Amino acid sequence: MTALAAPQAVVPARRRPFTSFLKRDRRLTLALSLLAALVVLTLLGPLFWRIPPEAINLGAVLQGPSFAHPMGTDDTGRDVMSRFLAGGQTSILAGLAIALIGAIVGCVTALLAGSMRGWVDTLFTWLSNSILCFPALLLAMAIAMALKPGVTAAVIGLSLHSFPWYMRTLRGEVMRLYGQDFIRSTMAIGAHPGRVLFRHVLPHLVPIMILQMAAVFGAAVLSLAALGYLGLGAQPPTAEWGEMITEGQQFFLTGQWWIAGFPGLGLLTAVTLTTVIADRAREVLDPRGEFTQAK
Amino acid sequence: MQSNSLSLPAPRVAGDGGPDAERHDPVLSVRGLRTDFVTAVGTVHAVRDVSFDLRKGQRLAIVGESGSGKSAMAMSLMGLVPPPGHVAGGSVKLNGTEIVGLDDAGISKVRGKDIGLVFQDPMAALDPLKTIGSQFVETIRVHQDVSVKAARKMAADLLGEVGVNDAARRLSDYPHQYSGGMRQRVLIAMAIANDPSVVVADEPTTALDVTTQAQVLDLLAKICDERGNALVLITHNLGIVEELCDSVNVMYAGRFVECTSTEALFASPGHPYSKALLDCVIDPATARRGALPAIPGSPPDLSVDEPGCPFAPRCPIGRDQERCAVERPQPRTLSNGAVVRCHFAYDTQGETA
Amino acid sequence: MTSTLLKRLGVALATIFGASIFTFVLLRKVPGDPARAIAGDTATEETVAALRQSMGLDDNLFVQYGNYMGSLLRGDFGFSYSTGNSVGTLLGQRLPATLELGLLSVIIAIVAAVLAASFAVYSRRRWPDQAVRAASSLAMGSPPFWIALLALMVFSIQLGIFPGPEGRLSPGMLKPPNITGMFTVDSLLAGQWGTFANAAWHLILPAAIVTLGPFAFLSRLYRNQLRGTLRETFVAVSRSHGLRRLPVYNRHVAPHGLLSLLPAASLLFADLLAGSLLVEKVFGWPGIGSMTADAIIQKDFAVVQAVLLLAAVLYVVVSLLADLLMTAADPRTRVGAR
Repeated sequence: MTALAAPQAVVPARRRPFTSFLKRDRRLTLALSLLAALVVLTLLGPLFWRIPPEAINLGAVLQGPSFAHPMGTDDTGRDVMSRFLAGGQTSILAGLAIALIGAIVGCVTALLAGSMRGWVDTLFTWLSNSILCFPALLLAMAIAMALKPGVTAAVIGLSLHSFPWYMRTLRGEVMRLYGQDFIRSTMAIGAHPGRVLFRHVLPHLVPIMILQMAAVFGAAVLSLAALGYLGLGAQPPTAEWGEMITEGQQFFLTGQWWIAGFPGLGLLTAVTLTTVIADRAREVLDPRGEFTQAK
Repeated sequence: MQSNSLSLPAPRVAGDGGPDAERHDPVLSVRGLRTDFVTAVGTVHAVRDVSFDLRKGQRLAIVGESGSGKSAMAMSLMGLVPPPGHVAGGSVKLNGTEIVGLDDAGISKVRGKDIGLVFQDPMAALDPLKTIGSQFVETIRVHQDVSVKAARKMAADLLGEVGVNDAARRLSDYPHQYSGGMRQRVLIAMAIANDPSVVVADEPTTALDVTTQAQVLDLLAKICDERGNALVLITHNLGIVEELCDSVNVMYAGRFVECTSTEALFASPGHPYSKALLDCVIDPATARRGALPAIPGSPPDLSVDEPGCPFAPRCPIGRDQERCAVERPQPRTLSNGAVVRCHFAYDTQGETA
Repeated sequence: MTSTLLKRLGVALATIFGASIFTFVLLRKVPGDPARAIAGDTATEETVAALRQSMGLDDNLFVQYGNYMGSLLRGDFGFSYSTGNSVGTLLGQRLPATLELGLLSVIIAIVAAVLAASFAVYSRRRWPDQAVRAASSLAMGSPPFWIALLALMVFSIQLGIFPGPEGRLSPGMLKPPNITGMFTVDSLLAGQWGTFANAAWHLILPAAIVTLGPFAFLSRLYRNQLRGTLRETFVAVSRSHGLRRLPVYNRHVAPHGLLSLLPAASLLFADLLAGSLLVEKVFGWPGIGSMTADAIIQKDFAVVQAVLLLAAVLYVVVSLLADLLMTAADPRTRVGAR
């Protein structure tokens, strides 16, 4: 594009409100509103759909979708819809927790490593290399085994694997920023190092972190469900989409598709929408793909 | 005197503009060229109704600030406007052949053979994964039916001609083993390898070291002289223009605001914008301490095409003139032969018409 | 050149060292007493104590780590109490099945991603690009175990064109002679066409599902790379010399894309051991993945430890190789500047 820089220079940088940006991008708008709808549904749905997810009803076992049970019932007569809503809550909240914990720990270690360098940098880099060389799911499985299988262990295990990924990218960016003229000149005029860190370095990391969080969230929701499916994530009777698929899989193959079908669809929709949104955000925030292609 | 509605300036070339030159048809003839970039925030009209002729051996400079549409125009001449841009109208004729609207096969026959382009940034203009030799051989064999061996020989000769020492051996080197200046020499050699009638050079030295700039420009001029290629030099450096070119088109906001000979421009610029550009050239002999001269304001937003003269808000004359705000100036010829788009251009006597 | 090579080797060794400490510490943290877990609830205190002694669990951690690494280096991966075999034997039995499944899906993923992304970018029309992006977004968002169930229901139970979750061969089918351990390869080498067809028939569905994730990852990466390269000045320069679209694409755009695909594709090979874990579990595929999943449920920590460490070593070695290959393939790093 260097050959033709002219036309860009001509359009003055105009700040447009976010809403007009959404109006132009129909696909993004659609994906965002669908995801928002799904999140709101799982978070607020239980307030309106009052059947408790653990309520066993042996009089209504393995019923297909109906008005009384829009997503049917399972082999103990529990309402799949209320379990779907509760399971979605678990998946989404745990996914968010993993994305956030990883981002915070990754950002702090990156700032330490990138600004102090020396042995601090060597230590953190070695630590993150030593963690990233394990496959995420395998590591989370082993941690679930070492602790006690459950949502907490899953969140710990997956966060442990996500923070080095944040750190690796952010550390490079911190080092790049410290080498830049505007930071060097700020330091040269005697600005407090803490001020430089918080006012000048940190704000540049935020868009990158948002992009990474979107990617981590999608992957985390899937891994969490995988752990649940393997019996290492949420433990019954806690509802979680992956665990529900395990419970429903034998019936899935014999025709009662709704028990494992709806949670699977929920996973597919939530993660695909996140991917679409993250993709679009990346095109806007990181057009050259510098920060988000490492994994 | 008002020029015709085609807004076709007929630049009179000083010096060699004798009857011999007049006899030839133009090698490049551009009429009403328009180039648009369709972006999310609106359509940018980067080139708006540009017309000019270029004769064999002529050296034409296109000058203007960044963002005036110079590069977009150069790419339009090659049919290489990158998306989301496209040529929205007009005609570009090379040796009598219309190239606007040609398909990939058609335009590929013209590129490199009838018109060559030297790019701004030599550091990015060569494929880093291929040797200079393989890229050069490829360029030659697109248009000439010769063996790889013969093409390699030609490439070595051309590299020698542009001043690359030990050319035959350096063909096996990769671009990163060449310096910036050397790469631009290589690119000039490639651009003329198939002997195009027109060479367009888009700010060929902006990305180079100041010390090598002059060498590369001299080389470009020398090569075009020897081979008789016409040269379109796009630049914002008026010093280069005075030294190398015989005629100048001054571009502002996608249009030519003054088309004239180099001599006439430097003797008496007609358009206030041309005059302002010349005033910005620092002459060390007369420079005084203090603020450097500059043109106030910035170039207009090219996504809107307002009536009136686009330079009016920055113009020392037109700033307060009602006419400049509402009526678009049409091209007219001044007494020294310059064609300008200005209601109040300075004419030779220094008065405003 | 040699110094960077040595440095990379050093980093690789340090990483493996870190990973080994990590697995060691992690698995010493298994709740409860590993000796008690192995001996069972009915064993007496004396039995458990004796077992603890013989397992070296009473030594201090440094001694334990030293013993552990020492036996690893001698090729002794420990003993799997849940199956009664040495871990080395188990790995040998299970590895070929995982390699067969994993290699096939990685190859499919690379070929399909390159073809799809090239078509999407080269065609310049909107729909192929949108189709590839939609496909990769969907593949990225699909939970593999659920898709595997769906595929079993549709293709095996409803349509009956692929076998159910019965492993690598139909029941009653004799295994081909053990050469590589990969049934499709061995049966071909032995000329047993029936066995080959049966093994391939069992392989297709799981391989297709394992492919989804890598395909999604590679196709979007390659598409973005191609689009980025198309905007490079040297592409415009080649076009300005009169080269047509296809030759420019083949000689100048695709090589850059493929070069950048190298490290990404290497990640897939690095993930070979665990990448198919979920699909193995659903299809009853007797590979490393399903073995590990079972071992974790049974807290058979010797197996888990070995698989974790092997996966880490594989990752480090493959990344190092990819790094070296990149250095060799890119003239900017291979040939010094003048």
